[in-house]
Amino acid sequence: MPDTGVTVRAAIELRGLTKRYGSFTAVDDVSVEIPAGQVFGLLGPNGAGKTTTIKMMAGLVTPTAGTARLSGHDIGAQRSQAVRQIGAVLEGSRNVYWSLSAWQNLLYFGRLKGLRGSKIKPRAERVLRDLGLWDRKDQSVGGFSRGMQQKVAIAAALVTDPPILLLDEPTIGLDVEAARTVREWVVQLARDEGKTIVLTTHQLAMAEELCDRVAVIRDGRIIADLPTRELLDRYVEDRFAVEVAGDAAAVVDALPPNTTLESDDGRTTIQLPTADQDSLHTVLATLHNGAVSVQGVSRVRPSLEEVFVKLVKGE
Amino acid sequence: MTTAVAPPAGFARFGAGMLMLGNETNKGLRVMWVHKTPLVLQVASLTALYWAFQFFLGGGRFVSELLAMTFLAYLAYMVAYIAILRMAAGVLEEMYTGTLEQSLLSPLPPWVQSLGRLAAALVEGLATAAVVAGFYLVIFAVMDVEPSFEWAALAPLALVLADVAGFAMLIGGLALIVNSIGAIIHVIQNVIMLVNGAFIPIFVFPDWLALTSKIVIPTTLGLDATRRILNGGESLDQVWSDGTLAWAALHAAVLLVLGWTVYQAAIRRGLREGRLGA
Repeated sequence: MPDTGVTVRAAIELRGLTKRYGSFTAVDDVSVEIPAGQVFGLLGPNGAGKTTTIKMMAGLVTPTAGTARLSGHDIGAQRSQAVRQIGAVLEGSRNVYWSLSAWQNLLYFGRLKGLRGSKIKPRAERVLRDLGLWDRKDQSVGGFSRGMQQKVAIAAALVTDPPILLLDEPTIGLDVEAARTVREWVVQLARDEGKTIVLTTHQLAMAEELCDRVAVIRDGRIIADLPTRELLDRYVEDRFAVEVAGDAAAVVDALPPNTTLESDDGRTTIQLPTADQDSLHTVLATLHNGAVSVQGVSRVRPSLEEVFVKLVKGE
Repeated sequence: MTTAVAPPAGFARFGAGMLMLGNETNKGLRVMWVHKTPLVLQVASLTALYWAFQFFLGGGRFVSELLAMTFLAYLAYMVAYIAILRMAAGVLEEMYTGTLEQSLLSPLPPWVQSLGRLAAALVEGLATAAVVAGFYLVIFAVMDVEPSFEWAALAPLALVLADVAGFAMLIGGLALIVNSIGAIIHVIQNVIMLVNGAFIPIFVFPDWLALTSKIVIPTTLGLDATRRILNGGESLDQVWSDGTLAWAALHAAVLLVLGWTVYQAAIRRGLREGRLGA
């Protein structure tokens, strides 16, 4: 790519972000750059510092040290400009007024960011229609299901069309259907609208599905920060998996010791204990002799959940 | 498409501030309207309380002079009661539900929102006082009680309102940092009711109590000036020349500055300690 001489500034830049409460360090020297349009997953066990980091990004917790810049604006020194860049759904709170209607909430939060009603209304209508809330826009949010309330919270965060979204556990407490709606929305916002999204979640399958990049935080420190694919590749195990049609019952006794079999939906995955080529050839020959149809051979790839567990255990 | 809102400057920033002030007031009044049933009960109980107290104070009858001299102070107590309650309970409720943090994601400083919250609380207080006043004006007409009115009294009454505003802001700020604020508010509201002149004019208090009430209790100084104009036949010049009105103005100014300062300090401390959210 030719050098145009233009420096593309990251959407979010955290430099040495630290938060101490007395002798307890909640967040310790976190430095991250998140380019525009990226879905960034911040994962960690309870109490690891995810929410404190998100709140420092949003200017809702004052850092002990370090800076957070949003679209180039320092949240400490240029708060007025910085907060215009973000919409946030915070964990463990209602985020919106339950005694008001969805429409009233969106108008309120739009004006809170300095927009006039005439600019908010078309956007609010679009967001509510997209989230399937338009028909109930005048009903009190307190009467909605938990999933619908969370949708209103997301709609309120989006009503000013900010370039950055901070989503702290956005699917917590949601049923499967509502969680899926939120996931689909995150994908749409990132892919179609180019928004930069910081997502914290304990649902690691969701993080694996949505995040371009994942950072794992433990005891306030970032212990891994890689593109999701690269992180998973790093933990690819040194053994093979052979996928076959059927249940492979005819050859089970002939397989090497410590081989594991998992059957699902008419297929069986045979995981060999090593990546030894001779063992693989022996197993393939056994399958061939037993007339078992081989569907594929691959290196064992862990899920993000398995990688996460290894990382937080320090393996 | 992504469009972060452009920051306003100068006059536009003032306009944005006014827009947000209106937004906050509008929200506060809408939330209040949703909870209108407790509001009706509140109006009823505040109406009955004055009636019952005056009945007991009059030894089983209503004393017209006492009613005329205390009624405005009782209305001022009502406005203070509601404004203090709404500021403290409102800010605590928003803290526990997470909407306080969401409201801090505004480009304008937190004090603009606190003014909006205060405006809504004062409107609710004044509206409640107006309903109770309307009821009692009918009762007074039946009882031949003649409450006097002078335009000059509006000046000290405005200072009473400013006093209430500053004090409510102060309590709203303290609510963010003091855990047992509920009990403290309860005591404060009762003390205001007992010694601001709502039931007995302060000139019958012992000197030390009258002086303490004027210095410590919001509304007392302004109400004393109002009573002297309405019931004592004094002019605005007279209550100004002996310093009463000036002291009332100073009292209101100190409370407004103190309330604003404490509220800002409480928000800064909350951000530092990360305790403004759910």
